[in-house]
Amino acid sequence: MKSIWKMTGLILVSSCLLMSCVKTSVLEKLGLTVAVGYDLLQKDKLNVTSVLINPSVESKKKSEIITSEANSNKGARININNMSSHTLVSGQVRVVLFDDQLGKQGISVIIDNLSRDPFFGDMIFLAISDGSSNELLSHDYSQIPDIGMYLYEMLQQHIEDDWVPSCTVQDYRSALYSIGGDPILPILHKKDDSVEISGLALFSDDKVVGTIAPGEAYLLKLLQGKQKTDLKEISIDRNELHPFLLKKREGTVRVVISNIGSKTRFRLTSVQKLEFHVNVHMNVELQEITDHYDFRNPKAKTLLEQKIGKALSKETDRLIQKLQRMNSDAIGFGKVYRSTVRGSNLSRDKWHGMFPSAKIHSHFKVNIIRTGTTE
Amino acid sequence: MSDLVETLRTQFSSIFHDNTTVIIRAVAHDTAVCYLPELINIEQLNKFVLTPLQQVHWVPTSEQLKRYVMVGEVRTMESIADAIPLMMKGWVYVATPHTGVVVNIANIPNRQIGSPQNETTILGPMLAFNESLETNTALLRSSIPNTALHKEAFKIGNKRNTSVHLMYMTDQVEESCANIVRQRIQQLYSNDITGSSELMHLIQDNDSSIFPQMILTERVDLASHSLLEGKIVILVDGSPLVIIGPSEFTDFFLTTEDRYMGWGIGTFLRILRMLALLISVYLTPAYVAALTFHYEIIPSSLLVSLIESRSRVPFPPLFETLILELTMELLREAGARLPTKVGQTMGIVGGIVIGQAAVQAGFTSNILIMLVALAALGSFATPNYLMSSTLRLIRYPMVIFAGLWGSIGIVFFSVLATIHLIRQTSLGQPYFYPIHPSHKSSTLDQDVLMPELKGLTSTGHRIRKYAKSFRLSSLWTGKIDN
Repeated sequence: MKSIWKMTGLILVSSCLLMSCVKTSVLEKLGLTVAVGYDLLQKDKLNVTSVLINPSVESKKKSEIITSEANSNKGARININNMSSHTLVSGQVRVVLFDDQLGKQGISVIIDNLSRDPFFGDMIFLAISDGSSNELLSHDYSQIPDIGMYLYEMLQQHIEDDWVPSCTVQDYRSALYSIGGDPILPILHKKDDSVEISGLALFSDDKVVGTIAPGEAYLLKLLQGKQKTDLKEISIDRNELHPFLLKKREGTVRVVISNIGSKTRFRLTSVQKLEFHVNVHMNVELQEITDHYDFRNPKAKTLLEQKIGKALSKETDRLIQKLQRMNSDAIGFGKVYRSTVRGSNLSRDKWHGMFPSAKIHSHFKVNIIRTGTTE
Repeated sequence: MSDLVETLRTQFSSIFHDNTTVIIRAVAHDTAVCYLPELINIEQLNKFVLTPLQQVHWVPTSEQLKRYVMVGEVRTMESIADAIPLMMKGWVYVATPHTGVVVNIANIPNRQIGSPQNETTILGPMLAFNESLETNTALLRSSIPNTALHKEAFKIGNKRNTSVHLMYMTDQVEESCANIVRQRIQQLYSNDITGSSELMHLIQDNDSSIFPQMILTERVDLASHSLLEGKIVILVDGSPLVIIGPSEFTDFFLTTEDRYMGWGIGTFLRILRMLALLISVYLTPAYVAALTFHYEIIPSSLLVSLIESRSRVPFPPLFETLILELTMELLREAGARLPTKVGQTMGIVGGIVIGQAAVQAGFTSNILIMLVALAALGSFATPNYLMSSTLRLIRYPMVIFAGLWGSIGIVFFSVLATIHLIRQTSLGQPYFYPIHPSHKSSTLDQDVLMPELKGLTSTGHRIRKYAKSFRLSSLWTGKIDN
């Protein structure tokens, strides 16, 4: 019985002493930020746009936009807090946007700041906005009631099933700080009354150096080994498929394939010449071919496989050359180099000096598994 | 002859303080029968006591009385004072000037054996204990017709003198448990008890714990199954519930029906009940903690609807939850106290009218209504009523701690509860047994119900634990170690 009183006393005392140890944040008193946009103004000033969840039931619009100019990230937060009826918190932030001007100047200072705040998760999506992010976020879209959640779901869906590579804070930071690799982020583009993902922004260190189109992004994600079943259109010259085409005329044949499973292997074949070989083994399903092609002949399939492989490796070579021109190693050849060459003492700067002059050849081996069924 | 009746009458009236309670009737030669008319079978009295006694034409000795009276249970009594307790139970006192015997022709009003009212099952025997100790003992004896089934009788209390039976299988019981029970019941000599649940609270290991430490059941199959597992069953006269001990924490979540269902469905049901335990204890505290402290963990798809339903509620989440939990408990209590017919209406009034209106009036959020209902469902999925009440009770401190410190509070109270559970014993056996002290194979066997393997039944581990060890090796060495 004595111990029970002791225990009760202990609990009571600790309840009183620890009461103030945890800060309460009652849900309905919070202004929950869902998306943040950063725009660069003149003289290193930032224009910060916060998208909050609008808690009032009656209002038709589900989000509330607050914009503020500031010299620093946290300074903007102070300003925005002054403009809101609720306490501003950032534990529910899902998407952070940077405009292309800021991207060219470098975004790692802001991201570093974000990742030091424990309320910002590591799974927040980062994206570059084509044009002002303020404009993209604050536009009153007729079809989109909550732009913050919309962007989050859009990016998530495209990362899971489409050509967009994962763009979380974790991915960005790991690409930025690992030796032999550069980050990539998707580009969001405001198109009249809707938003689209228009391509990928390539980084050299933390600065945007160029963009690639969705078709190229498909190959990039394929080389990263993360491409799921997604459609890819390939153009092949009619003359090359000549023997098995039923009608003979000039032009190109469009072939649409979907990737079922692929395996990518990088090999550093020569250290002196810095020569890489990329071997991709792909199992594909033929979805569409814009001509009558004679599949009854077994040689026809082999020929088509060869031609698709050739077309893909040509496109890949072009993509890699583009990356080398921009000196952005988004695929991560530096990592291959570092893991192959013992004692290379590679650093990021050193690799950026070496990467543009590397010779990289790609080779695709395509295996058509099905030709009949389509989705 | 009338002298005997007169002396008896004065003696009885001095004990009972009136002349009407005991009927005293003179029979034949200097013999009289005394009884309480409500408690005896009049037909048997006429046939087996009065008729034979008519033929006695002398003053009989007690041996002769015993021979004449045609009833199985007859005892010689030295004095009236000795006979009184038995007469109060429906025995008839047959007196001569020198001696007396008591004859059992009791007809105590009793209920028929029925089907279980509170612990219903879909499969399995429909047999429940009733208020008669003799019937209950008979039910157990007939369900285990084995000489190893041992019975010990005790009397408890100064005034009520309640009979208590202790039953166990001699070849499987842990002797120390039986000793503990025996000792504790004997210490209760002067306590008057009204039912087995009262006895259970008097003999349990830790008085101040809110967790039940022994199982109360009305099901015969559960009691006999527990006996075969090496447990002790305590029957109390006048109570339709028997006590089963030692019991472990996990035992409160098992039913005999799990075994009737087969291992697949049985295992699924047991896992479901464990899940229900977690839901009933943690769901509403998690709501309070998430809304008061950890808004980051709320899934994004739930966020908007949660904020919208919360924005109209005038109370902080802690009070909102406490109010709704208390309302739920009020509904349950009112439903239990009302007659069955009104009780059903109560459910409709409580569930639909109050639930719906509370949300519309902006009193609570509809998400919380759902969570509280789910938590209540979870606690009702526990087969043992005492345990399910305890689970509902420990939810309140859990909610309060969640409101004070958030998830830290939940962890704090969970640790406190776990420490408490680990420290408990039931009749000297560890209460949290298959988990602590841990016993892997028994957890698989007992709580997950694996299919039978190599002749070791799923009850095998109990026999190993409480009694002699049975090893597989004895199958080929032919030696059974004791």
